[in-house]
Amino acid sequence: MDKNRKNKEEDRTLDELIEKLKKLIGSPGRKFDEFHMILPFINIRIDKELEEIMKEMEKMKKEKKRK
Amino acid sequence: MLKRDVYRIFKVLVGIERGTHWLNYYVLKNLRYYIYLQKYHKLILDLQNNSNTFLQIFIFVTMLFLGIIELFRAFYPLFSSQHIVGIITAYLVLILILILYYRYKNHEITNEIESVENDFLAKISKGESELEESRIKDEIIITTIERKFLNELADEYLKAAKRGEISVEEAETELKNIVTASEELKNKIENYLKELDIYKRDNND
Repeated sequence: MDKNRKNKEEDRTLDELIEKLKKLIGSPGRKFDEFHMILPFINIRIDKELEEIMKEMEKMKKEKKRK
Repeated sequence: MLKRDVYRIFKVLVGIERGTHWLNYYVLKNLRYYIYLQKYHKLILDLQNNSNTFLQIFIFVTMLFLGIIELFRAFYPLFSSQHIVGIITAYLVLILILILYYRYKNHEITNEIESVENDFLAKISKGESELEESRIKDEIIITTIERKFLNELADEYLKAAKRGEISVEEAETELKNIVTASEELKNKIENYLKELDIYKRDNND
């Protein structure tokens, strides 16, 4: 994968990435690579978001126990 | 062409809005040619099957032909019976050639119709596969948006717990459910990607 391209994709917000993915629908038979390239970034971003929410939840639980 | 083929054509035509304009053009163009061929073929078959019409045409042309010969004989008395036999033989040979040509043409048109049909159906299959590919991509995007929505929901639960609107235990249970659902959706996306790979391979072939 092109390194510059990878960095560019990493800089995009989740909504931007999803919008980009939507645009690839109208290109049957083409842009498979692009589709496959963007999707992992979105999945990682979503996983990270959820992880952070869970971490915060854990923090809140510990704080509650301490009290 | 069977009914289900017509249905398939229709399905592809419906898919025009999904970016298969060239296919629409191709389908309409070929459909017109196909209808023209079918009509021509039907005309030949009608003539072949309807022996009465064929016989009537044959008798009419023969009578006309004999009339012309009689007219010739009236103007040229030297026109011998040998000449007449020769002319009638030539006429019969001509008719035979016409019938043979007719049969050959029929065969040629049948082949042409078959070839157009096959080509046509191949294009329809390609269109179907493109529609299927678009459908899978749609599903992937919908599932991704669902995962994003689950994150937003999880965030809302967290905020509600912070505000004290719901208990921490309740929020934790909901978050765990969300994590499980999100994982399931992620697996679903993986499966869709595997399906999409099949179309990638097909397109590379």
